[in-house]
Amino acid sequence: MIWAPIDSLRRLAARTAPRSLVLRATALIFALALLLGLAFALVSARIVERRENTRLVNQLQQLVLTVENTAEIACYLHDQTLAREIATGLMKTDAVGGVRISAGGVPLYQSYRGTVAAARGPLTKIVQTIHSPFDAHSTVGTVTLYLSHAHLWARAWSFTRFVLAILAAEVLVISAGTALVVFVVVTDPIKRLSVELHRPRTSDSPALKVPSGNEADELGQLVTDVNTLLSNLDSLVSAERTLRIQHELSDRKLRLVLNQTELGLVIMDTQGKLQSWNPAFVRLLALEREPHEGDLFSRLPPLAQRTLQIDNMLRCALLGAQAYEADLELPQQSEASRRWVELSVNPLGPDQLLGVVHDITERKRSVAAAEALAMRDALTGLLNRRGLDEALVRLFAGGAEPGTLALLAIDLDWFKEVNDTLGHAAGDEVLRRVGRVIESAVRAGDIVARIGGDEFVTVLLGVGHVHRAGKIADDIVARLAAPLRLESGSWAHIGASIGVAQAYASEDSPAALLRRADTAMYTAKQTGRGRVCVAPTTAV
Amino acid sequence: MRLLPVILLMLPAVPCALCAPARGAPGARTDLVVIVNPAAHIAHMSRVQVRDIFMGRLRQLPTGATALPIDLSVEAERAQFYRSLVHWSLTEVSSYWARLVFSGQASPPFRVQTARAAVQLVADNPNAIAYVPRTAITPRVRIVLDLGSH
Repeated sequence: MIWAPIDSLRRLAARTAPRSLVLRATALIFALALLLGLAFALVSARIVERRENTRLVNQLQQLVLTVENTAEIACYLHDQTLAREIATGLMKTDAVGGVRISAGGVPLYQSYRGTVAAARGPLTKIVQTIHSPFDAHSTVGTVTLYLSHAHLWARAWSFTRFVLAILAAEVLVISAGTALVVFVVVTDPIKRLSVELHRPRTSDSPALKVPSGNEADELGQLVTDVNTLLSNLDSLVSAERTLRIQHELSDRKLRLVLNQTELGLVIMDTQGKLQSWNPAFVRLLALEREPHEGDLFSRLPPLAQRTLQIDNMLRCALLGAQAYEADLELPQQSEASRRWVELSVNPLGPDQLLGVVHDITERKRSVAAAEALAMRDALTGLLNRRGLDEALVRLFAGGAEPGTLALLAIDLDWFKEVNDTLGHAAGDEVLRRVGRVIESAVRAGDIVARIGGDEFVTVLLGVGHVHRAGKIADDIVARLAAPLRLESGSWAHIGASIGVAQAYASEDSPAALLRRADTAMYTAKQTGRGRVCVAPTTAV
Repeated sequence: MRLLPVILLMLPAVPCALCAPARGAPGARTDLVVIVNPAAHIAHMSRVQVRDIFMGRLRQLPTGATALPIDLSVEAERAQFYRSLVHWSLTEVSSYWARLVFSGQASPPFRVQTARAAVQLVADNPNAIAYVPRTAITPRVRIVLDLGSH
């Protein structure tokens, strides 16, 4: 119950409390001084009343003594007139509220002021015993003086009012003085410091100045602390700036590297949506237009045919947390501009993937070249055994119509003799010339291979009847029968034995074909050399 | 030779000293008595009673009869009387009566000029009460109080 008004008072105080420190301090001091003043005023009023009481009682006491002589006579004589005269005189004093003069127990005269007559309760009074004027030991009467309380309070109040006025003046002066002192000593320096702090600071603005005279006290300490804070802040800011510059620098370097690098880099989210990429990425994938953020990687035009495979890659990368790679051939317009890229996907943190695109066209070409080289006979430039096997496998696997292949197994007759007679260099030249002869005898698409020391094979395509193959074989035999003039000027007589085998329309294999041609060639060799032998066309 | 001016100065004092008793100087006292008329039938009175009558408090003799105090105008005796009775000087007594004349109901005692007149008055009046030197009394009055020479 008591708290409610106090609470609302507090809220009111909080609402109306001034913002300024000076005003708040002044208001507080004033309120405090006022409260104390009031308390003191109340206490002093009480004390004054009591003192006044005592003083007035003393006054009455002395008053009685002044009329004692006359009162003695009056009481001695039972003289009412004299008594009245005495009483009237006494009543002239404001402090006297009532007089009663009695002689021998009988009131001679009494008189009261209105307030005293009407007062209820005990009255302050003094009773003076009156003795005989001639005999100090004999009592003749009493004089009773009643204190006028109205007078007492009037006097007390006037004094209290005076005290209150002085206290009020004191309160005002002290509050004002205190406020002034507080302002000058505390709040004004603080305000000035605050203003200084408010000014926008540049990096070379000086530290706060300690107000003169405050070096050793709390303000000085505060200013020192603030300065320390500010210098810390400054160093932090400059350190941060340095770091930022460094960061920007390294960022720029990184960007430069990423932009210059030959590797295509792309960062995607877990669903394969593009987040960022570098120019090499666009270039390597030969994207016609710049991709947009959010485009799906697996649906980029060059990769559209491999969408599923790429999606799988991404999934595996996410699950296995390992990099996955795949070589992709990019669809191109022409054979010459065939391009190969190697794609690897690496997890990048918990929710991102890094795609790296690597142009491996050169590598692929080298590999192809190396492979191609491995299929060729270095001396003649024709296919070697491997090359032949590969070609036959390819022909038999798909493409060539069954039954349209014819294989010629060509064996040179007198190569060994030429080699022994004219030397290895001549032998090499002979082989080379033979190769060219055979090539010129067949069509461009036909396969020509050197499979052994002096063994050659040629596979004719699109030959439906063995008769035709036989004709070509005859041609080759005839050409090789003529002597060859070498560079050195010597003449070489070679000669060739050829076995011809036609591929079956069904159920045939490269090995079987070769075997048949070989057998036919052997037969040709056995029956006199320099001739053609055709393998039977039906299975034996 | 030096003492001559002193003796000359002391000469006027001699006749004064001789006259003193006649004048009633402080050194010499008269034997005062308080007298009443025998018809008042009072044998004896106390100092207090006499005092009360002479100072106006009592207006009656102990018997109840109205009292008529008589004051002697002879200064020396009067002074001695009041000094002895109330221990007051005449000035004080005068001021006492002066006050009462204006405001009080009491009145001062009747004044006679000589002791003989006082005696005469007392002898003729049964209410009268006076004080006189013992040497002035006659058989027609009765002594009720002996104040002595104090």
